[in-house]
Amino acid sequence: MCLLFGNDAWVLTMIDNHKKQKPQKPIGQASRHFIWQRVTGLANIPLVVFFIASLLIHRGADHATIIAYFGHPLIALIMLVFILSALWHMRLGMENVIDDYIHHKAFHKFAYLLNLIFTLFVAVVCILALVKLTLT
Amino acid sequence: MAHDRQAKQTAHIMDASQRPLSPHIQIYRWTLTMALSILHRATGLALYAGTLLFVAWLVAVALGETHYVRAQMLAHSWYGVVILLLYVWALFHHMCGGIRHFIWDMGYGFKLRHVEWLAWFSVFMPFVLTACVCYLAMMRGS
Repeated sequence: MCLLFGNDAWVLTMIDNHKKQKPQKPIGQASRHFIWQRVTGLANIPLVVFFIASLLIHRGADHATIIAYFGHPLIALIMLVFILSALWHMRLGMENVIDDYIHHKAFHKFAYLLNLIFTLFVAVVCILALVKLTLT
Repeated sequence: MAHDRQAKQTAHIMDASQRPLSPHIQIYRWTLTMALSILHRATGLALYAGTLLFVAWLVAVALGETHYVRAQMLAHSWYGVVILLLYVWALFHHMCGGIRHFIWDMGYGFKLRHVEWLAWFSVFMPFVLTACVCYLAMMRGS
């Protein structure tokens, strides 16, 4: 046995570790990233279809019609969900790209920060525009 | 003797300048799945930048009629139409790629036959969907 497997202490520690890991481990950063990327991506499918359909229906419409449509509380709410989901997905995707190509720690952090700032900027401008649409 | 030779070999490998390089992108034969993987990322990056166009349109609508009319004029110019078509195509391409990845994430479609089928699906589907949008836009147009 000893010749075949050597010192089998490592097997025992592995089993021990496995037992120790049995209780529910909290989901890590990477798993959360993965899951939210999928969730937002899946949500984006109907939301994008909704938005493109909205634009197609109102093609060539005048300003008042567009305002009346996108200013409707329900439509504005769907647009809000669309914007948040799409921007979140966009930010997560860009984080993957940054992880792949920027290895220098400081630049990596800086790129993450720029990514966050861009996302927040777009989100704030979109939400302000939506609020104005709803109120007019 | 053997030990000596091994030491020599190790020293050779340790020398960073002579270390064998792993095959990089220019070595590989291009495959469809590989090209699609790159395109998925490229369209993702394009859509990232494209949000600025979306924001610009939304702000133009919110700002009032003059800005909205100007935005519509830009969208109806020939370069506006080209950009919009590319935008829609990139959107659908990324969407189909995402669906493909989602099928893989669920644990299906790993047979080579299925991989190829899914790849061709995400090559053609974006064009079909973009053509549909184009047709609907022209049909309802003034």
